Amino acid sequence: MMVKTLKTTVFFGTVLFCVLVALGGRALSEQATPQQGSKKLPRAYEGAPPLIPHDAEARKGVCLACHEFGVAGAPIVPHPTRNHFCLQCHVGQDLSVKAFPAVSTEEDK
Amino acid sequence: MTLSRRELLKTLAGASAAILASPDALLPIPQDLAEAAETAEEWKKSPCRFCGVGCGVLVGLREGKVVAVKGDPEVPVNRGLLCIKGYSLPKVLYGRDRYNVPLLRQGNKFVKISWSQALDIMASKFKEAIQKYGPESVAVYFSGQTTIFEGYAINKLMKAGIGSNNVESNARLCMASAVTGFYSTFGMDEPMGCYDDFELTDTFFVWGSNFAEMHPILYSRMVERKHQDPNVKIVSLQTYLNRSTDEPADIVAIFKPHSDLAIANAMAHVIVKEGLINSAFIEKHVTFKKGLTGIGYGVEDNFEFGRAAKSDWKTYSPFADKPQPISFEEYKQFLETYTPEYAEKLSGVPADTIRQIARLLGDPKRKAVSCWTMGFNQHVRGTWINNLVYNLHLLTGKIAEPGNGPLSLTGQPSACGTTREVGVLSHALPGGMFIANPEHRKKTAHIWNIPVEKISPRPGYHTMEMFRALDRGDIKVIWINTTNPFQTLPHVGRYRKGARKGGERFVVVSEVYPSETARHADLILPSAMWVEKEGMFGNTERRTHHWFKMVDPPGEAKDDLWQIVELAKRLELGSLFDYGQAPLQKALFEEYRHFGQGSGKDLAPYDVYAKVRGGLRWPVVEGRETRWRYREGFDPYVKKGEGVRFYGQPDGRAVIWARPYEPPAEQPDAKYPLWLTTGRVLEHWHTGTITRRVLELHRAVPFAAVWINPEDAGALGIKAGDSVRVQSRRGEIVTKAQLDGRNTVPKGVVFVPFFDENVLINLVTLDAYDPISKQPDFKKCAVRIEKA
Repeated sequence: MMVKTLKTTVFFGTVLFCVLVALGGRALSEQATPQQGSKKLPRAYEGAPPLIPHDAEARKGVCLACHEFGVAGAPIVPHPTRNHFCLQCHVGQDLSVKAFPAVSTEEDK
Repeated sequence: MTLSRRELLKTLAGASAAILASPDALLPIPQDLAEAAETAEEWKKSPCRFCGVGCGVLVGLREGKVVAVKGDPEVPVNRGLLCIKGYSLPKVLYGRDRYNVPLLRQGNKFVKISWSQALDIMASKFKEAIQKYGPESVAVYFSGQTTIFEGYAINKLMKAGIGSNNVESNARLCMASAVTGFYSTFGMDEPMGCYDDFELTDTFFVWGSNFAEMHPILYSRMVERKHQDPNVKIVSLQTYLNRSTDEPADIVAIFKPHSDLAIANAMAHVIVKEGLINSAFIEKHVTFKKGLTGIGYGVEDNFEFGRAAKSDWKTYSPFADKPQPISFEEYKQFLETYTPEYAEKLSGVPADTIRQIARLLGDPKRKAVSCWTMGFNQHVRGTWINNLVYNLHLLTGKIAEPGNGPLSLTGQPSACGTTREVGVLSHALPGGMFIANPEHRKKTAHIWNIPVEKISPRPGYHTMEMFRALDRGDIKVIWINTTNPFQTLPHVGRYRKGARKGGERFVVVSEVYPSETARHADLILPSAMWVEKEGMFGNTERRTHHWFKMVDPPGEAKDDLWQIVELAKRLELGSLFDYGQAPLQKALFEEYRHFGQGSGKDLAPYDVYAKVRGGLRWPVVEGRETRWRYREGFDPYVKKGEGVRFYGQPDGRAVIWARPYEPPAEQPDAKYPLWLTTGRVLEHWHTGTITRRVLELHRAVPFAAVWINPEDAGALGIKAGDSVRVQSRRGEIVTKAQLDGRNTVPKGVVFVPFFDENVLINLVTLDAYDPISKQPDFKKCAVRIEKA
């Protein structure tokens, strides 16, 4: 049962990935539009978890379809025992969003 | 505790080896973690400053700044792992608009003033109000993120010095119903079990809590457990699909808001009918009771149970339940109504699913852990639904032993350690004692070395009444610290206006960044945060952590304990904090420790917490922490031969409560046809005041969307990304529609997170509360939506 679920997940995940590649990395949801395709994003600091340079919300639950074995150049997860809750450390990025708050003035303070 | 780079590398290597070798090895340390050790010159221990899980972090320091963090592999809570909020800790201190000087309002502007001016003004406003209107005209509103030292000091200043019990904490909005649930069932606050149960149980029940996003590290322990043992079952009962209903949940039940009361009673019905009870346990350790019903919703000012006419605060008497003993037979009669079919009608969950869940919980071959947070606590019958889940564990005897037990998750890092244990609430005293109890006042006055008459016997305003009193003008001066009520209170439009009505009102706000509350202040005090000061926190599983100050706060920002003591001095109450040459934090903690000693809440000496990585779980007796309370062999308070003793209750028996289903304060109708439920997202902490200043977190979730069911959206011509107005009888917001992604809401429900100050969803929510706990319900009110 478990194996079957996993196989199904991998299969559909791969199919979805192909669709996403075909779409040229365009977002499926409004939030967190990927701007950088497969480019690596700089980490917050050395040792911080890598950020996700593509839409993570739309590919929810299928991370391992690519990242387990490095399909299409995707980075392979270096921590195989922690593969079941990717999105609690790795988050997507909408690079069109500016720092918060947008303007910082004395009046705002 | 300080580690050099070399020592850290050694610790990391050693710890991962040790964890791998241990039988409950779960989260070995990733290889690349050790490499990160090069970024910092020095590493020190601290808890994370975000949620109630209480992860241990190692803080990397270089040239007086925090430059990195890593999960502390030696802390059993998280074993080296953190969530993205935790990994963002180095950045939370360095937002570009940190407050670094005191600011005084002049018209619509704030002008810089000195600390001595700021404190003089603050003290004179306190004095003036107290002289003219009495001590009940001043109030303080602190936080579940306030440290134990700060909470203890403000409690003492107000209750022993000023003589006002108007001391509240934002934890009232977060865990008050959990507390009243614990007291009514067990006679004593806080969980009997601990996180160790996660590796020892085989069945999990998650109730109305998006556990995956709100308590990520603890959730990952559950997921790991499931992946290690396919026999493990996870049941996820939710009001909408979210990350906590994703794989690996085995049974997902989506119920209509508020119908959890019916489901829990129906589960008890099945357990009793099908003989899944543990009769020996019930006979020895349980009593049955019923209480008052039809208890109201607290939407009116000075709401009082059973009072038809408009009430007055001067004569206000807090809700007091009238418990009546009943027999097991009478309890069974009460359950007759709650057939799974009846619960299906109310909840929409198929009767067979309810049976299946009940059988899993009742299965004598299985263990059971139940978890919940705000879905239960922010509930107009929050106390009852807490009672009802305890009923299930008491009926089956699956409680207070390894792998078996209900675990009330807490939201904030020190809602337990500070608000609950120190008693930073208008009816409470430190060590689980109560204002209204003369013996408790006597003990408190003795430890505080003050005449007992100094402590007013009347409980102060609870949070909702406190802000109603500010609006009416009964409270003149309020000090808000480490929290953002003008974004988080339900029906916040009223309370925002109330704060700026002028007259003699004076609002002091201690903050780190501009927030909605700071914008409503008369005086803003710049505070230190997290490792810019020394602190202690207490987490969900009774674990007390300590950390030392590591870096200086920016500019003239000062820690909140210093602010409290400086105010006290100016009110001629400095003697309350005069401990001679002793370091203040240590002296305060050692004094505070007297309250719990010998009462089952024993804490270790200050010096022990200062040393121990990961803290200790109370009661700490003879240097040993307690993992399971009320159980012989684990809890030093249970004598040999007793087996189990719920010693919070005079007869040593826990209570199974007959608590009925009662409807919520407001339900969808023709005019407002949808349920609104509010909550959080993983990436942002509460109102986003801190986390939105971290670019990576802001870019992950830049704004709060409204999640709408695709069918509801289609009927109104709304597409993903469209602007939508969400409107209730109280107010409205406009934001973008989202139909899928991390959440999928059922038909008839919309969900909006509350972190976004530009999407003030609390303008829309209803300020109804549980009359027992006084905790408001943010999870349900009636709204309509339209394309904006």
